[in-house]
Parts: sequence; structure tokens; C-alpha cells
Amino acid sequence: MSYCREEGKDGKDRIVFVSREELTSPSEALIASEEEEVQDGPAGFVQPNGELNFGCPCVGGLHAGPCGYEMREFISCNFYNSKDQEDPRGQNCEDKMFTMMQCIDKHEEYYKHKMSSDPEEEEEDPFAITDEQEDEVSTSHIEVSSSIVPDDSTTAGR
Amino acid sequence: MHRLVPSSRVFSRSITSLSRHIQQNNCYTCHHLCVRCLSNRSDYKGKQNDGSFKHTGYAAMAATSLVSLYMLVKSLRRDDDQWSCYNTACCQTRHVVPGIVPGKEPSSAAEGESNPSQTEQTDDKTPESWTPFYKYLIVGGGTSSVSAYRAIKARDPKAKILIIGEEPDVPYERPPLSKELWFVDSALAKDYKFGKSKRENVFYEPRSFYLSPEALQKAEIGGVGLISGKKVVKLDGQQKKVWLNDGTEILYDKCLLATGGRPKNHPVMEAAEKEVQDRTILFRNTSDFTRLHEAVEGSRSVAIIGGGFLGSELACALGFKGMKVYQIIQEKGNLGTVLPEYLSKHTTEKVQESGVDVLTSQTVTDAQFNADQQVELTLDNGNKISVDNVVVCVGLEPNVDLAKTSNLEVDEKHGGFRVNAELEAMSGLWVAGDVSCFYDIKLGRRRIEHHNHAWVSGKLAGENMTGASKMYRYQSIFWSDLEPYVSFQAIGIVDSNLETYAVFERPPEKKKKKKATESSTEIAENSKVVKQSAGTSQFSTEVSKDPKSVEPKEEFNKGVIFYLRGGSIVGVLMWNISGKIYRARQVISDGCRDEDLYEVAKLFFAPKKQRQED
Repeated sequence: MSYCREEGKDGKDRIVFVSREELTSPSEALIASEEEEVQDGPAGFVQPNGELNFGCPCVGGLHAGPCGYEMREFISCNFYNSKDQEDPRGQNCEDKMFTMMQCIDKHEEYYKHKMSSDPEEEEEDPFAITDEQEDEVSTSHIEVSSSIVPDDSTTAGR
Repeated sequence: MHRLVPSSRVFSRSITSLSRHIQQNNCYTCHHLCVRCLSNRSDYKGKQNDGSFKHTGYAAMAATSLVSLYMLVKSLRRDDDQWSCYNTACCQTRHVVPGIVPGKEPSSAAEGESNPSQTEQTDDKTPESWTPFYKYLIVGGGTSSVSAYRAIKARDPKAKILIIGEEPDVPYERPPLSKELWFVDSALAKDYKFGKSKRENVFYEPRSFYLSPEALQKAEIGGVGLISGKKVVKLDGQQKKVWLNDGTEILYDKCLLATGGRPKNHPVMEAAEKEVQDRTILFRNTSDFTRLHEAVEGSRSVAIIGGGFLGSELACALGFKGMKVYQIIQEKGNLGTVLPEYLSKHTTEKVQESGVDVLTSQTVTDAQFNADQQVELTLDNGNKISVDNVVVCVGLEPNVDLAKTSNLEVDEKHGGFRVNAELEAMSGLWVAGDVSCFYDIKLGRRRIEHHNHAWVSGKLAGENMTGASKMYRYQSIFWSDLEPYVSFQAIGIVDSNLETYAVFERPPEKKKKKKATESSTEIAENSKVVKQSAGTSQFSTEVSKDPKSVEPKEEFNKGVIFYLRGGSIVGVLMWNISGKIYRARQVISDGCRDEDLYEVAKLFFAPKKQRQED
């Protein structure tokens, strides 16, 4: 049982109180919106036309970082090669990977800071190899490391 | 690919940490704000972000897993490895030394700036003169600047971008200074740290991220350089040259002005004696936060002058800290310039429930330092209050100092530099952020002082600096959380002077059956209650007369308010509703002149399952 209550129009502020049942019924409003006004530029990292958009908010500041250019070169190489049937795992991009690694090494401090954001997990040496049981980690991570799959895949960290 | 056998725990950790990093970036830099994510109240899984996140997740995970793999292997093979010979000694890039402000140390950067001919300038574009040239110059080191350089770098991968900031700190974000930082441990807050992981801090990047100007000159693949603690005192848009306060001249090709603003002072406080001024804080920067934070630790009471966002947020935060807080507001209620009167009064009640003594419709007429070592404020109704400290939050004065020396147009009505719909003041010069008075093709000329606008406009300016020629069309949003009762997001023109239409969800009534016959009386009673009546006392009295009516605090639980101008919706405010910003953007884009506003409002209450109707 629900009823809608409309407050008298006094001055300029109208208020309507409606029960939840009525509110969640489908709306009859038709809204036409221009996509430019609703979307902030190209959507996503991989655009519909197949290009990479490093201006995506998700990239954050990585592309502008000390090794941003090298990372960008490598990821682009990897991505475009993965689409190319001859080099599906992007293995021809090794030189770019080395350049990137060298750069990251030079700026180790910055990238360690960037990557590590959870001190609770890092009270011990993160690189220590222990004999503990391995956690159950999906092996799909390892496959991903060599090629970027542009299409919808499984869990992406969220 | 080399065979690498990582510990899967390290793997999963690094992936988790980067995913989180990406999540946070996703939230911060799009309209789904990270502060909402942290408070677990917002549904940030907006539909246009789902696809993008999966892709970026993979790309970023790929990058990170490789990085972490590399680091792991490097540490494993410390003794003899081809990779271990690359260490920081080989680093050619000179970074700004943490803790030292370039320009204040005469031996390092200042020398480089004022005598550039002495440094090697292999790719100086003007070899004849010794004025350094940077293709992209950003005046101001705030949120817009960060957003701009990221946009520039995305479109021009080898861009050399120089930022000149007046503050000694590297660029940081402002909202936590009046929000999160007050709800974490003091020890963390002192370093401007907040958030779940506690390593998050207000600074967008550590100082090691930024290059010195000389290093930036030499960097073939470009980068982002930062000069802290210097001010641009003159700009010539024709010559494309700027002058710093130390005499340095810099040539540019594209320049962005993002000089922000300074907090306004209250005339009474400004004219008060020194002891009062020593206890008065104009709140804006990290240094103001530190000053207030320290003052709070050693005192018990505080008065906040101003009833806007900043004042109300600080009032609630300081109330949370256990202080005795007075908030002196000129308007009839908190956020009185934004919320329609009934909602502003409701908000005031909530703020009062947080422990703040809100004094509405009052102004400060005098301030004295009394014998109890306190600041005694006299109000226009004759009352006096004595507090240990005073915080002034009466608005922002946009920083248009450059206008006098640089022939730039200032908007008299809104303040700030006047620019067109593409944020351009003249060819090669853009303005973004708090100081930008721009032309919004949908809503008219405006100047917006919110965080998300700084981000969105900085990004747009950066894109236009690299040739995008885009107009301002994507509306920025703003939000407020007056913990823990009031939370809303808004977009467009949200001015309480406009006509409004609001739809609120009515909580289910328990005594409905008994009141079936009295419904008409109840309507009459309640319509008096929410009328535009004068004075808060009348509001509460009407309600208490009818014990069976719904408590006022329950009436404004969840709702949407449309702000109308000329029959079109120009602003949307979502009260305790999350995840509907996309919808709000559509509504403003359309204007909804011919629609039944009630039906439009229903779009904001649709549960997730039904969100396939467009």
C-alpha cells in the first residue's frame, strides 16, 4: 500500500514524497543525451577502434612517470603484436622490455613506492622466498603477462 | 621470454597492490570519486567504467607483473647478473632532492635557472639567447596542473612539461585536508596520510617523480619538471615568455594558468589585533592544515566563520575530534547557498547533532583577545563567544595577480581569468581550475571552485594544448560528506536561488492503517512544516504538535533535487543516492523541458537490475 504526497507549491521549492514501490517502477521519461556531454573522452584503455588510450583515468600517472615513455612503448608493442598472428605472445618486444627494465631499475625507489601501497602486507621482505605453501593463485595471471587481451576476460582485480 | 619462477605470493601481492592502485586512480580521476570508494558508500561500478577497467586491469597487471617479476629476479641474482650492473650511479637524470626546495638552495637549482648558459643545453630550441625554452609550461602546482600534464603526456609522449608552483609542497589534492585527514590518527595526519592502506597521502606524486628544470631540458623523451616556491610575476602572451620573481625568464610554446586562489578573510578578523590574528587561520593549504591541526591538539574550542562546504566539513570534523565547535553562518542554514531552504535547515540540524553549535543568520561584528587568553567574538545580536582559535571559511579569492602585469582579462562578475569555451584566453594560453572563468555552452559563463572541476578542466586544457580543440562539455561534479549524516553528490548549477523540484523516498510508515482517515489532515500539517517558513523554531514546533507524523529527520533520507532555470534542468543534486551520476549527466545534457519531472526523478531510484532501459 503506498501513496504519494505532494507538498503545496509555496514559493519555488516543490517537494514530492513517494514510497519506494512507486519510485522503483519503470520510468516513462525519455532522455536524449549527447555522448560528448556524458562521456569524458574515449572510454577505457583499449578503445573500440583498437587503439590504446593512455589518457584513460585508470592509467593514472604511470605514462607520465620517469619510465612512462618506456612503459608505453613496451605495452603498445606488446598489445599490437599480440593481435598480429605471427607474434601472439609479444615476444618480439624484448628490446623494449629491456629498455623499460633498465629505466625502472634506475628509478627503483619511485616504482617501489608506487607499487607498494599496503604496509600490512609488507612487514616482511616481499622478495623473500619461503617454504610456505603457495597461495592459490589463478594461473591466468601468468598467461596475461605476455599478451594483453583486449576483450572481456575474467577477473580483473576488482 | 625468460623463464622466471616467482613466488606466487609476491605475484598476487603485487598484482593486488597494483589493482588497488588502478582502482584508486580510476576512482580519483573519473567522476566516481575515491573518497566514496573508501567510505564504501558509493557504487562506483558505473557502467561506462566496467569495460574500461577490465582492459586497464589487464594492461596494468601486465606491466606490474613484469615489473615485480623483474625486481624479484634482480634481487635473487644479486651477485652476478647482467641486470645488476644498472644501478643508480648510472642515472643520468638529476632529480630534485627530497626536502630541498629548488630555488632556495643557491648551489643547485637556482644556479641552473638563472644561468642556464652554464648548463649543457643540448636541445635548447633557442641556442642564441640563454633563455630556457619548454614547450609546455604550467603556472601553478595544484590539481589542474597534474591533470593537465597527464593529458599532455598521453597525447604527446615525449612532451617536456615544466610546472612552476608557488607553494613549497609538490602538487597535492585538497579534499582530504578538510575531510579524511581529520578522521585518522594524528601521527598519520601530520604527514598528510589517510586511507585504508595508510600509505595514501595527499600528494599526487612524490618529489622523486619530478625532474629539475635542467634535467628536463636534457631529457630526450621529455618528462615533468617542477620548480617549487617560485612565482610567475609577468607573462607576455605575444612573446610567449614568463618572468619569475627571481628574475628568471622562461620561453614557452603552450602555457596553462592554474593559479587557483587564496582564502578570503573576514573584515573583522583582518582588522583585529595581533593576538587575535595569531589565533586565526584562513584554511586552504597543507600549511594551513598543519597549523590548524597543531592548534587543535593544544586547545579545546574553536569558532568557524562560514557556512559553506569548507566551514561545515571542518565543523563536523573538529566536532568529531572532541572540540567545542561554534559555527557562525550568515545564511539561514548550512550550505544555504546550495541547498533549498528546507534541506539547508535539515542539514543544520544534522550538523548540530554532531555536536556543533551552529549559529545561523548571525555575523561577527567584533573580535578581541580577552584576559582568559581567548578570542572573544561579538555577534550582531550582541552575544559573545570565547574560543581558543578561529577558522575563517568565507570563500576564495581567485588568484589573478598576473592580470595586472600581463594584460589578461578578468571577469568582474565571477572573478578569475576570462576564457572561452575551450578554456583559451588567447592563442597559446589556457586557464583551468578555480581561477578559470569559462564559457559553458550549455549552462553559460561560470567559474567553479570544486575539486573535480579542477581535474576535468585541467585535463581539457591539457588536451587542447596538444591540439584537441575540445569545448567544455563534460560536466564536473562535486560532493559533500558531513559525517555521518549528510552525504550528497551534485552536478551542474546548484544554486539555492533557483526554482527546485525534489522527489524524496518516503520511508515506510508503521502507523499507516490507523492514519488512513487522518491522511488529509496530515498532509495539511506537513505542508506547513516544509513550507518556506521563516525561522527554524517554527519548523520544529509544527512537527512536535502532531506526534503521529513522520519525524523530520526521516523525511529527507534519500532523494533527488532538480534545479530549474527557464524550464530546463540545469543542476541535479543526489541526496544520499549513489551511482547515478551518469544519469544526472544525461538529464542535464537533455534539459528535460518537456518531460514530467516526476518521471525523470524516478530514473534516479531505479534499482540496478532495471538499469537497462536506455
